[in-house]
Amino acid sequence: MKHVDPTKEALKPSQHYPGSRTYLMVFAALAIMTLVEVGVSYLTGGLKISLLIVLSAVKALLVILFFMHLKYDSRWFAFIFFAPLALVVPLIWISLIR
Amino acid sequence: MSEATSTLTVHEPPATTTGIDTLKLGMWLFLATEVMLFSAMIAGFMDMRGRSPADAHHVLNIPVTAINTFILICSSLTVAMSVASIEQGNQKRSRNFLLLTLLFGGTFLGVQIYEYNHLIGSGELAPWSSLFGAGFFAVTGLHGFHVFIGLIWCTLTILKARRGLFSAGNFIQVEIFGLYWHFVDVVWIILFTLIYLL
Repeated sequence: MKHVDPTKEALKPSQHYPGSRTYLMVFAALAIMTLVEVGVSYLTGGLKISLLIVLSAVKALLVILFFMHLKYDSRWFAFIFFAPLALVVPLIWISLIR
Repeated sequence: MSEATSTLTVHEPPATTTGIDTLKLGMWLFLATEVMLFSAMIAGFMDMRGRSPADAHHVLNIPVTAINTFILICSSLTVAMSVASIEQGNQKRSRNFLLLTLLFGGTFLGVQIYEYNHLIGSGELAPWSSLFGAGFFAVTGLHGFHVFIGLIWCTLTILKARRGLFSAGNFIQVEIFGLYWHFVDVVWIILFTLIYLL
């Protein structure tokens, strides 16, 4: 079995980036979800807040994973980017429940 | 390796002990600090909003901002397409997508300035009118400043692209600019929901 050096593997980060087709599909999803969000914002009740938060989180994740290539790049980048969220989530949560 | 194949070999960063591109690592570290900056601002805004409730649906123009959000999403697409184009060695296409990014980004900022003028001019909302107003202008202003910096960065990237500095094997600077621009888009996606829609 051929030995694979993980260091050398990581030196080729861009070779498996998605192409234009994936970008266009992500864009279409973002546009549709933005339209849905605006519609949902005119609703009333508790479901509105949950739906809006989920939709915006999915949109943000799509951009981060596909446009910013986090799905395809080194896992270290994902760790670096998401680690502050451990501090952020309680901070936002406290500001929401006050 | 044939000539055709070698031109398709994309960005190969200089060897590092970790195997991770240091420029890209630095950018992600910077973005992590930006996550903390914007999170603190957003938490502050949500707190101010709680103390000074405002009916965003009546004060803020949601349809116009929704279109502006769509424009910023378009700019993210054009940056991604620019990276995809230069990855394939198409310099002109990559440059044109960057020009479109500049156009979309400039339009977004223009609409935001129009919104500020309208809100303050009509007396509906100002930084000094309420806690909600202070929070609104602080958070959206900080984001707008980031868009402004992004527009300058985009212009510089276009100028470099015009000089033919990027190719299929060397496009890390376009990619790094793209990371910044997409992050600005991510922040707006969250701000649009928290400020305008909730």
